[in-house]
Amino acid sequence: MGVMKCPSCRSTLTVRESIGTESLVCPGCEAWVGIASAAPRLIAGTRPRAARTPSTTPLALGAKGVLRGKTLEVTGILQRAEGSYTWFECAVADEKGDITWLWVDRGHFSWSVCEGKQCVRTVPGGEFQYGNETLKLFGIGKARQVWASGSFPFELDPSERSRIEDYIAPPFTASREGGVWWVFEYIPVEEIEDAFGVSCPEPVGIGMNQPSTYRRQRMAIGQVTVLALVALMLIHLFVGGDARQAPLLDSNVELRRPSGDPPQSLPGFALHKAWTAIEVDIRAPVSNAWADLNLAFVHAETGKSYWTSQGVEYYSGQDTDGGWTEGSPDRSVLIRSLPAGTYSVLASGGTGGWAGGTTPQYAQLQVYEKPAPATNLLLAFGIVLGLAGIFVWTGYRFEARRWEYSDYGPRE
Amino acid sequence: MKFLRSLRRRPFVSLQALVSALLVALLAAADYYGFAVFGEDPEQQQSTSQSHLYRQFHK
Repeated sequence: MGVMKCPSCRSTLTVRESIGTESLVCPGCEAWVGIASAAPRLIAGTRPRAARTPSTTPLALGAKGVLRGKTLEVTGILQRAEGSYTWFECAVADEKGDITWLWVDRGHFSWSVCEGKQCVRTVPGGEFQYGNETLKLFGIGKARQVWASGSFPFELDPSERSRIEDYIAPPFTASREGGVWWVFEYIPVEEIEDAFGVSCPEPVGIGMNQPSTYRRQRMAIGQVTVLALVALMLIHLFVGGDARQAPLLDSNVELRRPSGDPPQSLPGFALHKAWTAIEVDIRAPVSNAWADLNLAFVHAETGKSYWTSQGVEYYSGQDTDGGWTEGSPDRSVLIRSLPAGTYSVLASGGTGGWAGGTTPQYAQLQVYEKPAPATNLLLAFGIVLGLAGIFVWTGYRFEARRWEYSDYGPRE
Repeated sequence: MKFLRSLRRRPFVSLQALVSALLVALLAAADYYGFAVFGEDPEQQQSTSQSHLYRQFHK
């Protein structure tokens, strides 16, 4: 360690040569002092720097911790800005005195994993790649140094206006400055807090190189979704696929019986599953007319009666827009979940017409067993696909929030 | 524990897998026991004596 006097306030400056210090900030007056030459040189005076002191820094100068197996100490903190947008670059020294950089953007930490002209390569087509990851342009700007504290292995320069190009391939950001690439890898703030034993402010928004949890999971989500759909389909085919094609009941119901007559007794049927949905199909040759049926399914063992009213109606005519029709002469209704047992069926019907319509004598009634209606399967499909859709949407929103801070986003 | 940790790392996959497994089980049960989720509920009388059609039929 060397000792010097601050050329501005004459305070004692301690210089750590082991970390290659070329400039430092006077702890007494905050003057920027260059020490590359034999005598200390004043780079910038006190007031402009002090006036821009940030209210908080991501880590305290001198903070020590172990991050990803490296014992580190914060030796310098530099705040840079482009317009009103600011970020921090923290110099952290390991036990050998080698400096690594922590870049802190809106509370999101990244640390340098590569520095040099060869870190990033250009591939045919003009794109840049780091490792196997293709980098996307995120931002271009000119950075200036606005505040500093501690020691730095280069000379601070308040007049600097460096052009910086930022490219991303989460969790990496590659910044090109002065022809040199700096590649940073995202570090979750919780890891920084554990490493340095500090409490950091909550990061703002989505970090430009923050890994997407959605991107990491999308392949697995796709696999689970496809598997679930296949499993549901197979279950529906093999467990619910024994519906009989022949109707349980196929009969005609009289529609013009005198009002005092008792209802018609139709052939009964038996249901064998614990619960069975039935499909009731009604057909009647109505034309500008309606036909209604009242049906009662009477359980032989329990005496319980399940009844329903269904009907068909069909109207047609001509108006100034041409021909029109309404309704249909046939109708299919799903009645759900009758318990197992033998059923007798009672039916009564009625019909009526409009504007000379044709009222039928009979309505055809067919009842089918539907133990596993397709709507069960469709509902399950809908839930599985709906969840996958929510995942895709939230993943899309994550990326949209990331690119809010860029002029080069996919939608620009 | 390893399995639980992997679920924690991938919460959406875990949720989708859990819901899918539940739906597979529910669909299997519904299809096996013949329960229709959608459809009209029939009106129900506790005994045939309360059935309008039954009373008409036997009067």
